[in-house]
Amino acid sequence: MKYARTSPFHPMQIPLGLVIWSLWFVLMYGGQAVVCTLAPPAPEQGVWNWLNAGLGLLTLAALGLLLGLAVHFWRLSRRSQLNERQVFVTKIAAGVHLIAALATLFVGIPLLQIPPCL
Amino acid sequence: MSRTSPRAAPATDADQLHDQFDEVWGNPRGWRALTIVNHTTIGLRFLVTGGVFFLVGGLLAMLIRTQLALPGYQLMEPDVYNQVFTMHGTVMMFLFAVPMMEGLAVYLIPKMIGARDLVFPRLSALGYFCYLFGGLILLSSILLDVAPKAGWFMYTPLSSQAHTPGVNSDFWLLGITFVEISAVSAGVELVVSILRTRTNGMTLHKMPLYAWYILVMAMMIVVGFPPLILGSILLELERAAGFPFFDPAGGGDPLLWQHLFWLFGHPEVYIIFLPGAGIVTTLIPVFCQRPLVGYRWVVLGVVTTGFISFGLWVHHMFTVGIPQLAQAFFSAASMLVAIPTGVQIFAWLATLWLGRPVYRVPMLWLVGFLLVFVAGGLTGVMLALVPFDWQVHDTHFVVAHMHYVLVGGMFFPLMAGLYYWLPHFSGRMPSEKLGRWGFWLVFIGFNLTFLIMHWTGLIGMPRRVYTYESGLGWDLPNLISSIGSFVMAIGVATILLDIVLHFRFGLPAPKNPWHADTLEWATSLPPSAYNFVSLPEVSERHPLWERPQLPDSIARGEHALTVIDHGRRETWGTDPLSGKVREIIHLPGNSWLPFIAALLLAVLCLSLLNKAYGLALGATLATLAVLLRWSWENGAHPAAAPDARTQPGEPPLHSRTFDGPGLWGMGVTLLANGALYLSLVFGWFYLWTVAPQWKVPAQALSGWPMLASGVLLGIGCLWLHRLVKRLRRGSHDTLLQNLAGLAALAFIQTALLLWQLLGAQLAPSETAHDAVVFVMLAYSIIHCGLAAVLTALQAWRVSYGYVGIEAPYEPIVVEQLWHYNLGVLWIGYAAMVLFPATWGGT
Repeated sequence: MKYARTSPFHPMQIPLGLVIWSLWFVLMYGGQAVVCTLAPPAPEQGVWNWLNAGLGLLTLAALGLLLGLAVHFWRLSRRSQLNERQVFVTKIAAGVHLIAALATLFVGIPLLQIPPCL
Repeated sequence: MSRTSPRAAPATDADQLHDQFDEVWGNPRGWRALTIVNHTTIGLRFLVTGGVFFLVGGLLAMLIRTQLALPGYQLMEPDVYNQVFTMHGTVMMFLFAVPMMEGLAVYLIPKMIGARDLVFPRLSALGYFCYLFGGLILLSSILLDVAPKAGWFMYTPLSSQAHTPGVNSDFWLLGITFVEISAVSAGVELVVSILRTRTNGMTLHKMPLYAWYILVMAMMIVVGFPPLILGSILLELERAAGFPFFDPAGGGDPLLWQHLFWLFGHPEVYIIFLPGAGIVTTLIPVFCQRPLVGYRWVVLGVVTTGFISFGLWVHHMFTVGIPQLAQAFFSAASMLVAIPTGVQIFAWLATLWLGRPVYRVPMLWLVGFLLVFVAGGLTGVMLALVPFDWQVHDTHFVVAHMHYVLVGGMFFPLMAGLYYWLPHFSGRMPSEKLGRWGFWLVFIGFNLTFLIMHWTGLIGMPRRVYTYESGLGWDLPNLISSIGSFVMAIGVATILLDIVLHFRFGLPAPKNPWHADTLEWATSLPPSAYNFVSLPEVSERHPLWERPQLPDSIARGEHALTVIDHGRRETWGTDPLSGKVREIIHLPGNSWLPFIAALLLAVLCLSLLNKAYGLALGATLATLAVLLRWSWENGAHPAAAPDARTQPGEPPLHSRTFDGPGLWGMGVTLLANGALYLSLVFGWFYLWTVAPQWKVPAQALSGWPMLASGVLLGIGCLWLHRLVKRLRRGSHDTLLQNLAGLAALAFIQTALLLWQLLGAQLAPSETAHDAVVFVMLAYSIIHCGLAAVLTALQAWRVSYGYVGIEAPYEPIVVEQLWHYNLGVLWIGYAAMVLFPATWGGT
């Protein structure tokens, strides 16, 4: 059976969580580098400045999205009428989204500890 | 759209059937052996060539260790020493590690997934010859005493014209780019083969874990190699034409090279490691005679490793002055990548724990791998910590860590794999005795060399110094490392001896000699050119454990696709998820085209090295002509599949459907191409933001021709899309006229881009700004021109009857290029015209 690319059982769902993580990572690194060059926040503000706040919000948004998708795929995988292949895709996709969420959290933690442009 | 006909029934006699298959699939001898495209032969050629390059790289290592054995000892002048250590790293990374792992995958993957060949056999052959010629060109630089000497990562400005005049760096840049054609082409076809040619019933969650590892590795090559290819092109343009991409005086930045290099370079470590881990994952269950623990966890670990490894590249640049927060992101990601790797290690340990491992020679190498690689991984976590990295940066500690990871993660599993699959290559068993001697000598020699080297680095010895004074505390550890390296060399010589002798004296291998579970052991030993005379349905993860008689029934022709009197090479085209058969993929036979194309590319490479640009242009045009001829012999062409009839009940040929490997191949190739273009866009914004003397010309780029070109291309895409839709509905009236019209439109649209380039009054040798604009426009011109030529070719093929309602497949493949060009053109317009006019400022 052929699935549409948007179907939750399409194999494209397997790497999706880490694709989102990659985009978030590029935005974080690129955003921080560009802002620090063009309009760096005052160093005396420490970690509590608009740039860290913006990056923090981006992190929370990515985290929320990834956790939401992880829960979504996990619930899908527990439906009774799925075949073995569908269970595999949804369970792996749930796992990948969860891993991506944890990776987002772990890599984002330094926002609470380090001023952005030092 | 397919027609079926009751052809002659398959031969009932197995020997007769094999003879018939040999007629279609057999390999010629003598000079015509250069035309072979079969994956078994190409895979073996990769392995043998990689082995020879390994010996060259090893000899260079011996020279380095001899020089460093004693303080003040000068076996080589500093300049020669620089060439030797640069070539050691280059040969080992680019000519040994990646090609060996790809070669093994090229050899094994079709057999493991129950296919007769890879999907693009001519591409396999082209990849091999590009690798061979590129490697030979690179190695010739040693004999000419003009070898690259700026280190294997060629940092600018050291590798730039000002600091390394002469052709040394050019050999690296052109030779490696040439070799990388091979890596990317193998990456593309491995991805498509794994997803689309698994045997009937082999679902994604039942395919061998080795195939998962290779799938992720191949995708990583597709996305990870292009940044380096771009970097090499830019640096060569800087050296040859003075485009100042990396020169601060012209608005460039040397750090851009580091970003582009390590965007490739760090994933490269995992590109090398993952196939090694795939070998481990394949072998441990066999020697424990039980399934691997945690199939799903391992898949999760492999996919996660593949992605996160792209978020680590800046950890090679912790000392270059990047803000601390950015360093923290990369430090965290660098630590994080140890977790999915750890998941795999625990899966292997759990399998060893639950099974009853038998310590044959391959298993020794696996145990060695576990010890060495875990140690290397732990020092990797240490290096991920920024303060520690600052302390040991560019010392022998890093050299030791790198060898623990790469030799542990690649060489040890490779040796395990070679010993394991040796009966497959030769039909004979290796010697246990010599094999064990070889392992222990290498294991002891390796640890003696590199364990000690950690301390040499911690007490401050920098890497790449050609000698050192006595009294610094480095004398004894260096001597021990040198002795260890010679012990290791003796070990390698013992293994070589074992391998050579086994071809003569090895005991004949019985069927499935290790009691393995995977399909590659269902072939004859050594295998025939077609692997399987009949293609079985496989619905289990361990087919040979659950059906030990499968090899016999395959050989007797009791399974599918056994008719060969049509003269086509065929394998199943299956659904990527379910593994259900969708179509029959017909494969091209032996051909001179790959060899000729690679030879012309070698002429191109050599003429660029010698700055013979007229000859280079001629070689480029000749290569293009050969490749177009290559594309001509496809689909309904007499040399491909003019007769589309299949057996009753069988699906149609892929070229008579709207799906097929070419469609997927084009998609994956465009992914690689997109990675290259996005790296260029990254370079543009990077220089704009960071380069200390970035200069924007007073006169902004007038983008009218580009805008008009973009609009025309958009109209063309809609036109082509509608044409394809009509084709899908079964109508092909005026197909030829429409395709000809589209080709004309594409030529006009390309001409507009050319007008933009020529009319922009760029000074690419004066400012990095204009140099990047030049490259971005040239990129679009080349791609749009290619789309125009390919569309014209389609129209021509319609007139011959090779494309049409009976064979509607090719316009869909070309359509992808049109859409890609449209995306690229508008991104370029936004970056070069809209961005400077709005936020870019001056």
